[in-house]
Amino acid sequence: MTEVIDMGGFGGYIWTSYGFALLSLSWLTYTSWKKAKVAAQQLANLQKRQPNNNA
Amino acid sequence: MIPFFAQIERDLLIAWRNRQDLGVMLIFFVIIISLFPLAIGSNTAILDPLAVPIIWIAALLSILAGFDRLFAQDVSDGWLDQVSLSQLGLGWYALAKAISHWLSAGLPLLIMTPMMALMLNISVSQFPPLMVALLFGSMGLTLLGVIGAALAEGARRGAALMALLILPLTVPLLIFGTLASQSETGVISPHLMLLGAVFLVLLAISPLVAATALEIGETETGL
Amino acid sequence: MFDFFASPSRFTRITNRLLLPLVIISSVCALIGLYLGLFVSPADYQQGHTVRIIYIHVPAAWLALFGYVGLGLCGLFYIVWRHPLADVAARAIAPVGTVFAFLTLVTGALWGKPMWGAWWVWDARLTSMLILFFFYLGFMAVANGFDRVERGSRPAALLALVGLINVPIVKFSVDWWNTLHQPASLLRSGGPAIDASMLTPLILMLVSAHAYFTIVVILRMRALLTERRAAKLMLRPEKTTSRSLTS
Repeated sequence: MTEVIDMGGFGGYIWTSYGFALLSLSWLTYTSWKKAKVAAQQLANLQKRQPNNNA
Repeated sequence: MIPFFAQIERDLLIAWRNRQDLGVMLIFFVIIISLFPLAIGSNTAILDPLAVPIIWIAALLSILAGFDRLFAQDVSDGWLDQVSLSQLGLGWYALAKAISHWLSAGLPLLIMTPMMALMLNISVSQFPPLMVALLFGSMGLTLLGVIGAALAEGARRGAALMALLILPLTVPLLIFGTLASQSETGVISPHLMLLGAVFLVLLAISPLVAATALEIGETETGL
Repeated sequence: MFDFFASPSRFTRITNRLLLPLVIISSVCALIGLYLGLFVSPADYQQGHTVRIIYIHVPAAWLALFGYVGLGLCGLFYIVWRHPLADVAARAIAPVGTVFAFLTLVTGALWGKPMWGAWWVWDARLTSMLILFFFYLGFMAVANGFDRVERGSRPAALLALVGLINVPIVKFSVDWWNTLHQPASLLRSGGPAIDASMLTPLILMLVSAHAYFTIVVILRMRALLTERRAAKLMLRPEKTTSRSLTS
């Protein structure tokens, strides 16, 4: 197991790369999904307040 | 053709009436150049190889500074609308702006360059390649500035936005320009050819892009 | 043909059906690819295990470039044909491309330090990627730089189009610059010769990254389309349910 983490001495660089990728892509996914959700919520609220003619 | 030259004349007249702006720009040029030795240290072994790049960067920043206001006056007093309806058209207008701006800013800067080059200990034999390269470089930068000014016209933070848009695109001018300036084979070098090529591309696309961007701005102002 | 995609509701219906398959493809390929890449594929005889960073770095770089081309095409469609979805697509692609470009730069630095001994080298490809990163930032700055958001759509599209023409020129000049300034290039073109045991995880990660890219762009496009619908509703005068003075 330690050999996997150590990766021949380069573990720091390798796991930081993968970790950073995981973090940034998770953040990107989360914010994108959140954006869609918030917008849908806003739209739903607006449509409730108005009779939905041609939205 | 006459409206084209009339536009250039008009802009030159306006520039002449505001000639203190030119002084400010030239002082800016000198100050930037002076900052480098101050920051790097007077060790000529380090400073001398950097002399040409320093001049180029200073020229780039000086030329592009203030470009964001290029069209502002004409937009706000309605001149741009008149131009777009006239025979001249926005494309030729943009080209005229580029020419008058270069004549009133780029050219003086070019004239000041030998003095700056001496300050940075560039040998006189290197002046011809440097000046020719800067000639094309300054014209290219002016054309890029016109694109940036047109794209950013009316934006918040126009100056910073313009810089962000244009600086990546100045890279070829900077690279080929500095290489051409340091040419060991006299004025004509492959790098100068490449610099010239980039300049020609910019000459072709700058008026078109600027005209399109200005037209967008025109039809969308207000509200 | 593109009229087919012009209707936002049709867009939503089509993309709804795409999302689940894409998520499955992306996750499965990523899991297998990561497993193979991290544990099964061989360490490089010169670089040791650091070569494993390639499985993140190359897909990231590829998608950053792919995104930039997509941005340019969207710019073309928006400026020339005023295709309504083109602006939405461009605004959705830009942040994703930016993240991938940044990821490329970071993983590049983390690969460079053990390989070349420096966090950053002014190597042609890293420098070009840096400029591409700036270009993405510039696009987002113009697109959102005006008080009225839509005002920025066409200048941004124009910039994307100019970028499509100019960034290859920039890339050429940087390559030129690099070969002249660093004659003994440390990074052999193409990197280590790709062996099959490395190619498989690499391709899997590329597929996964493409699928992921598409998913996020779809999500962001949906968000934007919904926001625009909401904005239109907000402009409409409120109809009250009780009797009004004018009706």
